[in-house]
Amino acid sequence: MGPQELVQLVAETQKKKFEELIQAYRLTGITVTTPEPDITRVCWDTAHKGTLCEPYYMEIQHKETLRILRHSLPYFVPLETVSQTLLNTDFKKFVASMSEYLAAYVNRRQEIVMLQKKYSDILIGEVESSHAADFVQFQLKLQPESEQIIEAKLTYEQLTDIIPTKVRIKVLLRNSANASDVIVNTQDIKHYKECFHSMELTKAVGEIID
Amino acid sequence: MMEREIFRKILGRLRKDELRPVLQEWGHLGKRLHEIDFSHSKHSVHSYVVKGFMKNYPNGHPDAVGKLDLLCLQKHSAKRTWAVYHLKKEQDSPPNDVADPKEFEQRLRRELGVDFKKMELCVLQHEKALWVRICISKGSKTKPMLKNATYCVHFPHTPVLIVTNMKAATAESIKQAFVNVLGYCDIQDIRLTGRCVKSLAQLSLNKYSQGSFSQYRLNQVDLQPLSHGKKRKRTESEESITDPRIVFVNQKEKKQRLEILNDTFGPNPQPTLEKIEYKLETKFHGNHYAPGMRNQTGPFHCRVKFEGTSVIEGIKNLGKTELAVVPLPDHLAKVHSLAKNHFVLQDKSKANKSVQDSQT
Repeated sequence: MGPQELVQLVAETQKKKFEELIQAYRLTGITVTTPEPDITRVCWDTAHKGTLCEPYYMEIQHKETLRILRHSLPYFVPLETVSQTLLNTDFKKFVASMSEYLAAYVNRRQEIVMLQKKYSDILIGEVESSHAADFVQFQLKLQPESEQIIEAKLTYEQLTDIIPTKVRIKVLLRNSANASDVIVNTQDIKHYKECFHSMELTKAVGEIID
Repeated sequence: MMEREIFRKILGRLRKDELRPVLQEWGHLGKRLHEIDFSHSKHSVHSYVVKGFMKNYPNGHPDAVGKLDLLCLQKHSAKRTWAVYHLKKEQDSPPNDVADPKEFEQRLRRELGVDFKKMELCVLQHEKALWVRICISKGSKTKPMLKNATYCVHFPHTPVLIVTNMKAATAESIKQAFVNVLGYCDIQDIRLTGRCVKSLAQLSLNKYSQGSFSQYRLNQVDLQPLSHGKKRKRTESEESITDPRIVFVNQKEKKQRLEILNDTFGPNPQPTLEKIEYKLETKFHGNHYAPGMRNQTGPFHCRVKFEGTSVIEGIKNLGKTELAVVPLPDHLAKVHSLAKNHFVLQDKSKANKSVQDSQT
């Protein structure tokens, strides 16, 4: 191997090492890079229960003040409100705040995905939700052969919540839209609501059907 | 009798293959839906549907017409022209948004009920947005008419409202109702119109991630940190001409042009806009072609309209096919990130003066 080839090989190995270092850096959840001299790129890597999900990006120009140039954050994140107060006063807090919104959104969304996957045999139809997953509605049978159906509507009042703040439960008979057709055990309803108020969605449903 | 005709008119908008899924989602036929033979003619199927509904609800149902109309509109929303409005809030006041369709409907009904005694209101969730149908009757004793229905699409937690068929007589009341329900202080037409609701939403909600940055929004750039290998960058497929007798002398320029266009527009399909309109209030710059205009001192008023099935894609192709000089000027290159399709172009000096005047 000639000296030029050796130099090239060393350069490629170093480059690969740096790339792996950047990948390892991404495991911290928040990565800051400088693609151009006056532009900072922040990358938020999201995860749910140990599984990595999608990354989100923001490019910020820093001249006299910091200004957001581009971003791929979901449109329901209150970026304008938070950036007005924090972007030029406490950048660390701004990044942490965005991280909180993204983590909560991914958590709520993935809980819905897990619910659909794990309890497909007792769910009736699809789980309906808003894009921000802050409103979730579904119907499920308490037992696979049961005629009784629970209709649950969960609202997360803040976009940083991962446990619902408002829970409405209706118990119905299959093929009846009228809740008054069922004799309701109020203790059961109270228990169902407590489950949703105190744990994440899939765990709450597991607790209810056990 | 009147309701039968309304049902027939609404159902007539659907194709035959769309009838069953829409009626299933409508839910007002119950078990009678399974009794309908959809292989019959559309007219017969419509008659069965109307009969089935009348048997289930001999006295009618207040929300049935509205829900069916809205479900049909969702299937064929491109038949209407939509306009995008932007809700404005006061500094430091948090909006009062709601994602629950039923709660949103209740709030909106309360607000609209102040101005209108007789109306039909329906809110449904569809593709993660709230679709609203508002049908207001002219008098207190007449039923709301189908042609007077206004349709709106709202994405919760955003200040965007997409509207079609808003009548002048009720426009202000409807806009004010949305402003009050959602906790904003004003609403403004942002001069963005089109037929594709999805594209209008994309242009107004994702204006900071259009062009080449759309690759980041669609997660096409980086792999997850723990996976190996690199994501294959999506590139435009180049013409592959295998005839060895053909030699391209401008390959380098072509490649440069494509790179610039890729940086400007990105490799992903552009949002669909049917029209972009420029109102020019600039001095005439074509003296070389029209020497007689040399003495013109005032602005040359002119309107330029680009129309087609997807105008932004067309502008990109102008650069690709060398019909336009690349890089394109800002008013063409940045169209995807401006969230409007009606522009006024002025000379720089005049534009600066009008900004100064508005500031003093």
